[in-house]
Amino acid sequence: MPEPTRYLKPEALARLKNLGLAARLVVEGLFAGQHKSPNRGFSIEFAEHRQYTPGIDPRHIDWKVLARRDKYYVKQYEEQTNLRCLLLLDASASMGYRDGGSMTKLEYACFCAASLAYLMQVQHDAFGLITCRERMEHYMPARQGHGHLRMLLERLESLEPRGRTSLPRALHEVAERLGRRALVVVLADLFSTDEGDGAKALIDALSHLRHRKHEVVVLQMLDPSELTFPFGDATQIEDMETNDVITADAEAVRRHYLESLDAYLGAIRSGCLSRGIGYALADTSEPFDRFLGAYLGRRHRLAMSRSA
Amino acid sequence: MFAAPLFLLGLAAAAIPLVLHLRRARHVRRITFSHTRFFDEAFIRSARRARIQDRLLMLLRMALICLFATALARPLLSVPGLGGLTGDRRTVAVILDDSASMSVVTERGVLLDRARDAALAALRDLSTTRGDRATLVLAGDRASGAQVLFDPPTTDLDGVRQAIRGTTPTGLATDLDAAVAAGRAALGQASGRRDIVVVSDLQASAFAPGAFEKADPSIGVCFVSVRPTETEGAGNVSIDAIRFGAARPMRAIPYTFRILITNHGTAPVQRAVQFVIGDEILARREETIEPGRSAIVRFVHRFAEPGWFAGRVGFDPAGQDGRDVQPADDERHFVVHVGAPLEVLAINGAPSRIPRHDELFFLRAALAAGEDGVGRPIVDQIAPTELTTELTTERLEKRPVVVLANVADLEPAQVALLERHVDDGGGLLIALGDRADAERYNQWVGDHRLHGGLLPARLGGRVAVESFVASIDSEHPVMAPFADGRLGYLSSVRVRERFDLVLRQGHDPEGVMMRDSDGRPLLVERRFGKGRVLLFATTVDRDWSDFPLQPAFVPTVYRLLTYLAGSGAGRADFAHTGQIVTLATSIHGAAAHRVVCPDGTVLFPEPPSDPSQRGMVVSTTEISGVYRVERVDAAGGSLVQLFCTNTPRRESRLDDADEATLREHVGDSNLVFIDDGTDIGAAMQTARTGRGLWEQLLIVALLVCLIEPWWANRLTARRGNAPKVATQAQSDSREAA
Repeated sequence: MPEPTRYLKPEALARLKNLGLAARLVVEGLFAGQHKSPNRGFSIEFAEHRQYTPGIDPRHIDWKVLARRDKYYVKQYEEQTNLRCLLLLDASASMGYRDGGSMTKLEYACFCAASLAYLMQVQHDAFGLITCRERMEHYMPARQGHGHLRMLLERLESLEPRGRTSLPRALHEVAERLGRRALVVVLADLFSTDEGDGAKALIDALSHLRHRKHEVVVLQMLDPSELTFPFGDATQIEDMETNDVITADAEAVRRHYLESLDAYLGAIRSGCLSRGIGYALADTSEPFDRFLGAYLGRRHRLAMSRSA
Repeated sequence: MFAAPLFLLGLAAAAIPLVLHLRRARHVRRITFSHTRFFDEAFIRSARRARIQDRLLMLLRMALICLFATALARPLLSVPGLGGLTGDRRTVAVILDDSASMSVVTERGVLLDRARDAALAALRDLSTTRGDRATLVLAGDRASGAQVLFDPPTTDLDGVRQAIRGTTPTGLATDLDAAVAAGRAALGQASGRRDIVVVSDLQASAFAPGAFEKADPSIGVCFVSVRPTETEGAGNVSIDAIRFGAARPMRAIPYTFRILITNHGTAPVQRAVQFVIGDEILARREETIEPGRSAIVRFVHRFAEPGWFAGRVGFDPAGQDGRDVQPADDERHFVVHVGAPLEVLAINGAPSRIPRHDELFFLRAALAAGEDGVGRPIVDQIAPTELTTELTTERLEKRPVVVLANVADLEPAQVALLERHVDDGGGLLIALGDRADAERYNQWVGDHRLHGGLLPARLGGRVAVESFVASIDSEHPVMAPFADGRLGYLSSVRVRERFDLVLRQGHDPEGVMMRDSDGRPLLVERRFGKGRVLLFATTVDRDWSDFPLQPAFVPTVYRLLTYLAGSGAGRADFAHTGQIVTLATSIHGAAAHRVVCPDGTVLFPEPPSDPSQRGMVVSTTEISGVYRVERVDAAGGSLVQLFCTNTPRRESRLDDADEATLREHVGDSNLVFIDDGTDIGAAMQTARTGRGLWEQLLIVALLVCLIEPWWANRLTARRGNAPKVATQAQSDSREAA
């Protein structure tokens, strides 16, 4: 079986490796890593002594102190945690759209997800994958290791765009299911099939994740044609998810479309901003590594400025 | 009603925007899009509005094409009284053809009567109270141009109508070009609607093809044809020309008149032609002429006395067989000046006792040749040594022609005497030779001399190169018979030596009557006052050429001297009506002449409009007939000369243009052509009330032209200049991150 590295462009990953992912919040990790945890526990670097109380594992009693002072103390270490990241991917039919870009939105999202996963793996962070359409469909828990990365990439390879989208519903399900705090990266076009799934429903769903103490980053993937609507003359427009057909003079309705899109994106952007959710809009005609590099660099600079 | 209905075919072009629109609408492209979440009710409304806008734009473009096509077709709104309702003031120039062809008599009357009725009908709808104006232009081909009777146009419409009723046929040709131009000038910048109504038989010879194509389109031109029908116009027989048998009749010598008669009809006709001198019918000939052919009737008359004679040839009504609808061309006038026997005063520069060596030997022999005892030429000879005493005014008055043969030079007083003699109508032939002093001769030329000097050309050096006569002026009355060999050929004349003649500045090149094989002038003519001077570059004896030994020498000498003898008589005997006739005058007493017209009116000659031309002109020659030029003196008036005018031949051709030809001539632009002579009034009514709408349509089309691009650009801008969502959203999102 060939190595599933379709979505791992070496030149892209080489560029991303030097940047690092600076998390805004410190989350709990399974393994010691580069990320400091507010929880004191048992690790390598000594922090302080604390008087032993029943219930603490007797393995952590400092026997040297007991010999000198005849008192029970336990050692406390400053624990280092890893990042627990979940990549949430929209695999609905609309993500298969491509007109002006070099690849479909799903392919673009997969490239981004694979790059992020590889980065996590290099940093010894845990990473997982959730795919959704109308509902949450597949859940790959966050783990470390090269084997896990391989499984994730195979999963990405096997994704096909199909079905309708109800991203808010899927996000609610994810929020209910995820137990521990994690960084949730949403890669989607944010276009839902249901009429009621507007910007407000989407923001509510993302807020649900935030409410569960998760860090949320939304990476919206859009094709250039969706951003400019460059069609002319009389056009029959078929919806990729519902197969509904609308006939109109595309040139004549372009203004209306772009105004509506602008309002929709503006609502999402302001909703994310007010709730501390990271947001970025990706144009699939732009190389994904450049997009990711720019975004992660900006996050890193933001984190550094806050810690200073 | 449309003036140019062919342009209505352009309406079909209005289908182009429709076809493009339908093609665009039917050419539906199907695309698969990621979502349709924004294609809501507002989107549908927007699409519907865009569709309506596109259809309106298409209709606008169709309307634009229709407006242009309709305007080019020049629609005429035929609503009687509309002009009165709209209060438009009208100015009408009626151009009435009063040429000779309008005197044609048809079964429906004289053409001019019908033309007058049509012209009056054209004025019927005009109103003095509304301020309408009119003028009348007569389209006869007058020397002074078309006659505008009311300039500027007048509100006295009754006066114009009276002038129309008073118009009578003339013997003139037609010049509609000049008449329409005069009509346009008379209309000028008059306010309101301006129309020209041309009432004529519209002979094709009356105007040049396409003459009105570039005319001012703001002036409507309506041509009303009153020409006879094909059957009415048939049956005309005309006297087209009188040809004289010689340049000038001489007393007691038979003189031939050839009368050219043409049958323009479709059946043979027989005509009796009368030959009249003065008031006496001298001869009568009957001739049968085949249809479409011409015949020549010959009359020979021997004038008993010298002097001026006027005559005419015409059809005898008693001998007429068949129809003749055009009376104006049934008579033709002529005048002749009968000369006395040729009397020559010859100054012999090289006399000799040996006759054949005498300078004038061959000239005298030539004048004596073929002599029958009647009208013998008289050659009065003076030797150079006798000039001082023998060359006098009295002697010159008796000898109208002077010959200088190889004369070395003349005294200034003698030159002045010759100048005066030629200026008064005498003739001078200067033949050169070995004794002629070129420098002294050239002193006869200059501003200090009368009319710039006698010599037609300055004398250059003597050229001793053999050449021959290579060309002659075949149009010259003296030379014409030698061009076709009737009197022999001059090409066999060899010239061994001659003077080089240098034409004077401003000399008429047509004045060179003979050139040699080197292209140099041999015989040159110059008009001098009422007379003429001929300069021969070589000798009149055989010293420098073999001309005297050639058969053509005798007739050449005779014709040259006869031509010089008649130079003072005037040559305008074949003028046509309306032509400016130039009277040759001497420097003395030019203003003391008057002209008695055929109808008895008296007018006075005027100086020519071109100051460089000499003589006096008579520009009022509208009546065909004999004009008598008199010198005003104490006795009341003595005859100086006669001239006559006749109707131009083209006025006899009545059936020379069909409607298609006329349309080609006058153009279709702004033109209403009425050719139904039976209902001129009704047709004029239609034409007159037809109100041109093209200007209004063009204004509307222009407005639409301004609206269409503005609207189209606005729609394009609204649809194309949509907000740049992506860039802004990306920028914002980065800031948010």
